[in-house]
Amino acid sequence: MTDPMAPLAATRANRTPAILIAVGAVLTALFIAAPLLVIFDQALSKGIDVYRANILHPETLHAIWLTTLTALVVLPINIAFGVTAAWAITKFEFRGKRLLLTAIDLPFSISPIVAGVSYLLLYGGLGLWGPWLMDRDIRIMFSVPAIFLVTMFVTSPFVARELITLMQAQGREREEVAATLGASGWQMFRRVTLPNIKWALLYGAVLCNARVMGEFGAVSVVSGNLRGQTNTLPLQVQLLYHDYNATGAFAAASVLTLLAFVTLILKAILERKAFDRRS
Amino acid sequence: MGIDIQQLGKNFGKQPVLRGVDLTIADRELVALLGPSGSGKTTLLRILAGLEWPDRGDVVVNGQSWLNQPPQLRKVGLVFQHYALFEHMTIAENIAFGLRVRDRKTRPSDATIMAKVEELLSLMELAGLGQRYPAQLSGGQRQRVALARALAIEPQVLLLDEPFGALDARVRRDLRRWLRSIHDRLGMTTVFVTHDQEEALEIADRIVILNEGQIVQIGTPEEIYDHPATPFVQRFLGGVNEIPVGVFAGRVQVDGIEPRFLSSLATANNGATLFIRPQDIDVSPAAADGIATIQTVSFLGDQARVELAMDGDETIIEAELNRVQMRDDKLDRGQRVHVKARHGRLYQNDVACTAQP
Ligand SMILES: Nc1ncnc2c1ncn2[C@@H]1O[C@H](COP(=O)(O)OP(=O)(O)OP(=O)(O)O)[C@@H](O)[C@H]1O
Ligand SMILES: [Mg+2]
Repeated sequence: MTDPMAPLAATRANRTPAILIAVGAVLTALFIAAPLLVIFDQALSKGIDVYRANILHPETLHAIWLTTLTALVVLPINIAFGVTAAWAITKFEFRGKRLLLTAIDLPFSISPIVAGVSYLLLYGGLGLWGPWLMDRDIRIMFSVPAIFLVTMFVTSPFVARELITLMQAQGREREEVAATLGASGWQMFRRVTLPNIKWALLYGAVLCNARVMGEFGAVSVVSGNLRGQTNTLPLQVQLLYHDYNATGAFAAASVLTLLAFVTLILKAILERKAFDRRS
Repeated sequence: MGIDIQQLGKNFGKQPVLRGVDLTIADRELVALLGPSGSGKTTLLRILAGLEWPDRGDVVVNGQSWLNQPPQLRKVGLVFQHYALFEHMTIAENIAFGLRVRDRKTRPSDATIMAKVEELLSLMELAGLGQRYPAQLSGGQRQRVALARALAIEPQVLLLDEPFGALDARVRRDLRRWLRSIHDRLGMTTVFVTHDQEEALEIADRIVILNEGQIVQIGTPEEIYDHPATPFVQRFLGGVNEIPVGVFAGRVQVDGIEPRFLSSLATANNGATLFIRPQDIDVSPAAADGIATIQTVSFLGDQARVELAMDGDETIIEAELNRVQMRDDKLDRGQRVHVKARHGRLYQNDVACTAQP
């Protein structure tokens, strides 16, 4: 067997890796670390007490709650959608497969604002189904369900896209063998497919979650911006900023950033656990 | 368990892939599907496994159509060329898979399953490797794991798609003999796909030759080798000389080569093609009266492959000669020679028109 470190050792002689690492570090500092630092610096610029008061403000607290709730509702649905769509597309032949593939990509290719507006035109009071819904006292636009709906739409491709690429590369033979060995559809998925896609699934879910929490455009169209009722964190940040409450805006932004960190840490812990179990 | 394949047809889009395949496979028979790339071998195998459905025709087993049975109920063992092992499971779990997925009523106890796995591991000469992962095995070992996994469900039919295609020549030879002995010991019906004619000739009870979705010939290895039905089969079985000849008054006319074995032909005067295998050509040294010149000599071990340039139209004929004999006869490049054919087959319009002498 060849030494797996050999190619690395060979390149150590020249300086290219060092230069590349330096460039990477500088770019990370400039474009990722600096903006993050600014958020916390600004949020804490008037002291920790003001920061705490800003976060504990009922409107901000409600925005945090609404953003978390949106993630809790939308993420499972989109994971389920992504997994089933990817499974159907990569493991089976059926009519309309192309169409489904295109449909999955649609939310990526149209602007979130347009998505928001089209929901407005469908479900809004003056929209296509608006009067019908109004007759039945069902209010969707400018309320929480609208936020769930558009967020779901905008973030639906993440998991599916991540999985389709991987599952296409893996092919169907394993599932086919499992079927001849007597595995039912569910057993095939649970015991053969899932273990082979779990990292991509986790990664897709993390990406999806980040977007769910951060989505601004589509949500801003349909939420109605009712303070303390239909404001998610990104909307709250913008609102406070327009109110000339920069410290408050940055405090809310810092919460959003922390939520992102929590997601990343959760992912790291899961990965570590799974890694430990294997070795 | 016998399998009766009737008039099977299958298109992928507009492209016909199987065009009326009729084949009866006897219980406990080992059948090789042999054919060039794209001839429909894998498609036929996948239909038997229940992974693909034909557009026409039927597959009948025990008097019942198999086509409305899902793969889960057919009890076939399937092995792909690239093994398709479950990479995230140990070897033991791979082999146990087919037993573990049974529903509670029919699932054997854990102890029974483990005993079965151990038994298969030793049958496959894999003892001691049960706790490894597929990535930690050699190609030949993985192939045997795939086979063990298929055998764990005690299939009545074993389907193998180029099972040894990805292995080196020596391992292939060992594994195919061993496959034959497993087949005999366990008493299954086996269908295996290959495009290696040597493999098929060595271990199959019968060989089915497919071309462009149709069966060209079915027969025992001897029948196929000695009586290839068409020039296609003849070519497919390995390098062969094709010599255009004339037929006059029932006799073949060909310069120099003395085709005495072709004395009585019941065909009209016409052109035909004479097929002669390199092993069936005798070469002896000649002085000026020879009819060919040795052009190249290449080494094949005990044998040598010799290219002969015939006088006149300079047709090249290949012969396989014993190297000791060649040394005794002082046959080497540039030597003038006589050429004689011991056997040959004559085809007119793609149909064999002589029997082997
Ligand atoms: N899923 C599919 N969709 C479309 N065409 C297919 C599909 N599977 C096979 N084909 C086509 O059907 C023909 C026969 O394929 P098949 O895999 O049966 O050939 P084969 O005899 O197994 O060839 P090889 O020796 O190369 O494996 C080929 O032309 C192939 O391109
Ligand atoms: Mg094939």
